[in-house]
Amino acid sequence: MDCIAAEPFVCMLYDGEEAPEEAVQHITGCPACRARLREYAAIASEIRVLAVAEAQNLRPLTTPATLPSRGRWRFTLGGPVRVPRFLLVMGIAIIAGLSVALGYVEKQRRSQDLWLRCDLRLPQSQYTGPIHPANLPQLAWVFSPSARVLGPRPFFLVGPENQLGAVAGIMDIQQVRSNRVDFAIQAKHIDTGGQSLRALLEKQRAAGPFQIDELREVLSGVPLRHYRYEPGTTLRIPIEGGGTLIFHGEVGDQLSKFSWQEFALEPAPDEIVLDQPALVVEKSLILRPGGAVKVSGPKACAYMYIPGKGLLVLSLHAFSGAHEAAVDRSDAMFELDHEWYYLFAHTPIAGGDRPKTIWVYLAKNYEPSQSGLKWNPVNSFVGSAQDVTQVLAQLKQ
Amino acid sequence: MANDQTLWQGIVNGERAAFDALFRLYSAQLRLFLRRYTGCPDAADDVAQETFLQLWRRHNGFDPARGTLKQYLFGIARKQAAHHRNGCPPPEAELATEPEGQSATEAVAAEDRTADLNEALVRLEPEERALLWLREVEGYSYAEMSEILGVPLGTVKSKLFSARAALRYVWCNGRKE
Repeated sequence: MDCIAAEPFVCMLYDGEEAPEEAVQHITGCPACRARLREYAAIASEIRVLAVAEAQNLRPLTTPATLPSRGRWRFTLGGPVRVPRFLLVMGIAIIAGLSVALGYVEKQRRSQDLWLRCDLRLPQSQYTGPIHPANLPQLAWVFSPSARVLGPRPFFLVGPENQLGAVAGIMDIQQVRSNRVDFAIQAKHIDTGGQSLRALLEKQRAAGPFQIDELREVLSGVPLRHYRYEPGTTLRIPIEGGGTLIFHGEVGDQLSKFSWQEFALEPAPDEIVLDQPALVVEKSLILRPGGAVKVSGPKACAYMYIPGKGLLVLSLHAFSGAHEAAVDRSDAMFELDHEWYYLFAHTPIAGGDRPKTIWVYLAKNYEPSQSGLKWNPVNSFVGSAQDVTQVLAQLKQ
Repeated sequence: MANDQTLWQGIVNGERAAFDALFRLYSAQLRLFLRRYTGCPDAADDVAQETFLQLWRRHNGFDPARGTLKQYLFGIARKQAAHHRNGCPPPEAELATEPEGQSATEAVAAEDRTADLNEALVRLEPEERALLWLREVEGYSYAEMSEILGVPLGTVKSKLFSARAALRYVWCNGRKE
């Protein structure tokens, strides 16, 4: 598949809808198509900016002074009707049968519409990626039974600074349900004989598409491990030859908007991602989309400088003076000083539960030119720090 | 805040307060959508009023199993708006005051880009505009948009794609002089 053929599917993937496996493979491996995804995200953001602007200019509309009267047909048709007993029984039987059949069909339909988004990584790895079709920053997959993309997929992961060696394997997603995912996996540690893994990867990539049959040969003798996985949990999978793989997935009926490039498909539960955030305060657009930051850790925080208001600090954990904010995918809403804040970004802001509570704090005394903070954002209004308490301490100085 | 079920029950029971609450909750979003769909602010407001009245009259029409109350409301609005779509002048772009903290050059560039995009939106077919709005602002899925606009799923996909392609051209190349 080429870019022209894949173009309509970029749109569908961006919207979190099903796309054929071949298109997904192409898009994940094609820089031009990934760039298109980013452009769609930017356009979407701009349309939301327009919506805010229009809402701001909307003149009040009052409710109608009087409401129309309703018809009284139910009273005229409400009289008793004589029905033969056998017809009544037959009618009830037909209704019951149809209800059961419809319920079954609906259940089947819903179970087929479920998507699985999952990440597979090595602990503390800085770089993970399949050898083909492309080296995504993180190995993230999407499976949907109704899009016929279940089934085995080869993977090849590289450890941090090439020190952990390589891990090759095949992941076979077999069934996706709302409360469980059945899959089988083979994973093997590969001895690279002292060669640079990066060079090996480049060599393999240059050799052309990676064939799953080649990998099956490499993995012959490696036990196939079967798992019944509970969505949302983290699963550790032993690797033949040493080491552990970390698997995390989520099941949903619709994919969220996502970025295929800089950030993971879905933020980790301990991660905050602000990708091109824009801010609306009381229906006024305060910040246009811009900047990007990702941070994780138990005390980590992200922050944005809001001209005229101060520094907005966001953390996954409660801290002194912080207020609750509700995050749902790429939107966050909260109230500070009786003002309503609406923050929206190109990609989901926080992983894990939905909606999720995060904590926000507005440091009104913060002025970039006067604070003297070492992490003072000069050209960007977003940033991050590993310890929110240190940030607050510096702000109080 | 009352949820959909409480509001709907109130409307079924003929409670004026429930109607007012529903109006307050959804009228702004509905009017913004209708402005894009009809391309005419005055018509949009008329259609929005008529939509709420229609909902009041047809108080047996909503089925929670088929979607949310808001989705149902948007569906009625789309049908009502079909009569008003033609004959309206294209809307003027209403842009917000530029946010503080950006340099004059950045502000002008951002304003130009938004204006270009708004102009490109106005030039799209009504259904394309409506689809983009429902998707990007209201966050509806393809299936939900198909239900609201009363068009097949394939039409949703193709029109959304062509709308995005048109906007992307403007986004990447700027407005054609």
